[in-house]
Amino acid sequence: MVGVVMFAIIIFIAVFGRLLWPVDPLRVDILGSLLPPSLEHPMGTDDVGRDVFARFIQGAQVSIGVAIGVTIAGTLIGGTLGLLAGLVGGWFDTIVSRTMDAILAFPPLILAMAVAIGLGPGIVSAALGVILAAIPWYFRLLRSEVLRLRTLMYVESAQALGASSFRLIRLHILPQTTSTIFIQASSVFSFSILTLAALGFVGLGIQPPTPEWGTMITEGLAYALTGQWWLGFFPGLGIFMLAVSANLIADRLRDIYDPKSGARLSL
Amino acid sequence: MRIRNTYRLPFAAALLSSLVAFAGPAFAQDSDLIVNSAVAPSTLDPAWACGLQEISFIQNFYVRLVQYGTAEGPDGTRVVDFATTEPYLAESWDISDDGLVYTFHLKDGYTFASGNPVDAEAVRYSFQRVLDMAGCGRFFLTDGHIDPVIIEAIEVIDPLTVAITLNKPNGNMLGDLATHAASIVDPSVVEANGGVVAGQPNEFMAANVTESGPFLLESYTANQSARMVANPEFAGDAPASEAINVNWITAAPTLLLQARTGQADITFGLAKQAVTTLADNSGTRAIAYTNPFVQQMMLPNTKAPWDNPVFREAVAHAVPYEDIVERVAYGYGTLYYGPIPPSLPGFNAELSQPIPFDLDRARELIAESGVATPVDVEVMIQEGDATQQQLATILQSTWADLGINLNIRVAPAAEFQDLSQSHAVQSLMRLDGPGVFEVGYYWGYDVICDNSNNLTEYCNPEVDELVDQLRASSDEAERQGIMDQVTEIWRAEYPKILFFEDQPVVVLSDAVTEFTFSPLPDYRYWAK
Repeated sequence: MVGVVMFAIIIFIAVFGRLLWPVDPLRVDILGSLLPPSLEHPMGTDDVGRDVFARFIQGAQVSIGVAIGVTIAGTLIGGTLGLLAGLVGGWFDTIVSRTMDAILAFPPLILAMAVAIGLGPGIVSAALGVILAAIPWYFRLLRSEVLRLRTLMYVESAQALGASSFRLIRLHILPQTTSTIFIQASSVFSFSILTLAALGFVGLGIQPPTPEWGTMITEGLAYALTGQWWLGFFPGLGIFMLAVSANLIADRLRDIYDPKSGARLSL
Repeated sequence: MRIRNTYRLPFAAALLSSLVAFAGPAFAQDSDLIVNSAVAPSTLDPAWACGLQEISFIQNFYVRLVQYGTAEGPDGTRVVDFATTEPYLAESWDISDDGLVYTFHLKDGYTFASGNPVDAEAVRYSFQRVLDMAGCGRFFLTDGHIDPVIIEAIEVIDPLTVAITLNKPNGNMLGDLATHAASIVDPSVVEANGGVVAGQPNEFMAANVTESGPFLLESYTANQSARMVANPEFAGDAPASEAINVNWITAAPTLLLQARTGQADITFGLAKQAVTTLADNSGTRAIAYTNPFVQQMMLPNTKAPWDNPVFREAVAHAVPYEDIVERVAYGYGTLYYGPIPPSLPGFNAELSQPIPFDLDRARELIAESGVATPVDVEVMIQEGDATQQQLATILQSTWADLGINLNIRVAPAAEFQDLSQSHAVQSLMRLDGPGVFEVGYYWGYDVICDNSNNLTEYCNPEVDELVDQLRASSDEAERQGIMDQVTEIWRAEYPKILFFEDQPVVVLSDAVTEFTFSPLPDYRYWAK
């Protein structure tokens, strides 16, 4: 429940924040720079007088939007490859599996950083880096699921009756992997949020002046010892809430879909 | 050669550096003077060094023929006076009547760390090396006269006499010989380690020094720290400190923390906002100085829309200068508008009044310019430079009301340098100033036509002629007249945006007893 509430709060802020707080996140007010949180500026102002709450809202939209995109792309690419490799086998399985092993040899964050450096800092390269790092996770999970499901009696029966590979996937295998995909997706969502923030933190993510939580933390770091704590604190809180809530939801989903856990279908 | 002053680096590098800084220098002793700085030198070779960080570190290990004098500074400190040159290795010198031949008489008894004598042949070798390698050092040594190279011959008359022949008079030659580029290196050590290859850097010299000056480099870890100790064999005046430990710390919080707690005796490169937090800090004092480094936005005058002088005038009126000085420079900036920064000799305050911030006037001028709005322009800033980021963000927001869509391009250091020098960007921001603090040298690249270092691409043949006259003249009244004339012409054409002349702030712990400021810090005069 805690995870869902935290997640809902952030999603609400991302979706409706601009309606409730219609302040331009890029509007500069030089003489109003570095003001502490107040009713006028609930999260204070930054070094050029921009409203931190307005930037927080847009940062949430950016982070969540990119994380959703990464999760969907990773699911589609990694999941499809995993399904096909498990079902087709042979040289296709060997080639794709070894490729995924090679990608897995790199720590995910380092891989994402390498892609971002290679393509140049920015939202697209950061997202591509995270997608590339996420694909092998889906691939290995789905491939092992398919290999397990293929040996089940009802799948073999369908195959013996002449069901095509597409039919096998659509009617007999994919529905059985839905829970696995959901659980993995929530974990990847959390991973995406943290990795995007990390890329932004080291200057490889979304570039200023577009607000992004990781970049906002970096900008606030210079003021960590000069008293302007709000610059880094609030985006850090946002990352914390989103990542923790996504992880809590992933844990709960796993419990729900695990027949041995006895958990009921409620969050 | 212009100097670019860089106070910030990407955070990834900063993080690594801060970890190292916390580890502490391996050889530091309690009695060492601790100097912290934000940016590390990238080379130790005086023939190749370009930037402030390199120059300020290198020059402590080498003697030069002459040196700049010093004068009274603020708060009981002193400042290097670039208007005066004094003997250093040279005891005296003669200048021929036509101003073409400089004959230097060297002091006896100077030796390199290797024991070899610092003599006329070493001087000749060192200067010829700089000319042959054709790196940044050549620009400094020749006062920017490189086509053709102004130094025609360097001749050893006897072991203690060397003559330098020029192909045209140059009133600033002595000042050039006081720069790091005129450092006397040990020929035997250089020849044993790669020698001189025309147009190529020397890898050994990039990471080592062949000391002839007041300090020996005891230990050096690139980008981290160094320990320098007084050279016991140095025949000149001994440095004020026996040992100095230098740390390069790019993490702003670490730099501030060590300054605040007094762990560092002398701190350079703190952000201005951070400096303001030290105002009531006991045990330290923050002192502001002046130097001719200017926060500026280059508007390449050959690229649209900057090729339209009325449009340039319009954007020059659309900058909230006073607010920027108050909240970006935190008061540590001087407003002006002209081709001579306020702290360079020759600056005329009356002719260099700041431009007022007037958006209505800017709108009128844009309409008058004929440039259709909305117009997209791009400005390149260097990754990790917080001040440039602030300035670009302020302009982006302010200019949006005028129909100017400013796109901010953040480039890593190497890309920034490449794109700047290749003139491949529509506009860019820099904290930038001359390597030799003399107007003729500065204008020798910054305002003349067809010079690759002229990043504004400003070109006015009349100004070129005046600059030639200035550089050939030693008459102060004549020089001031020329400088005023150029100032008026230049101002009317609005070649670039000048936000403010930066006032560097140095934080000294109360333990520091002697300090002399220079934009190119000279460690000889520092002690605690």
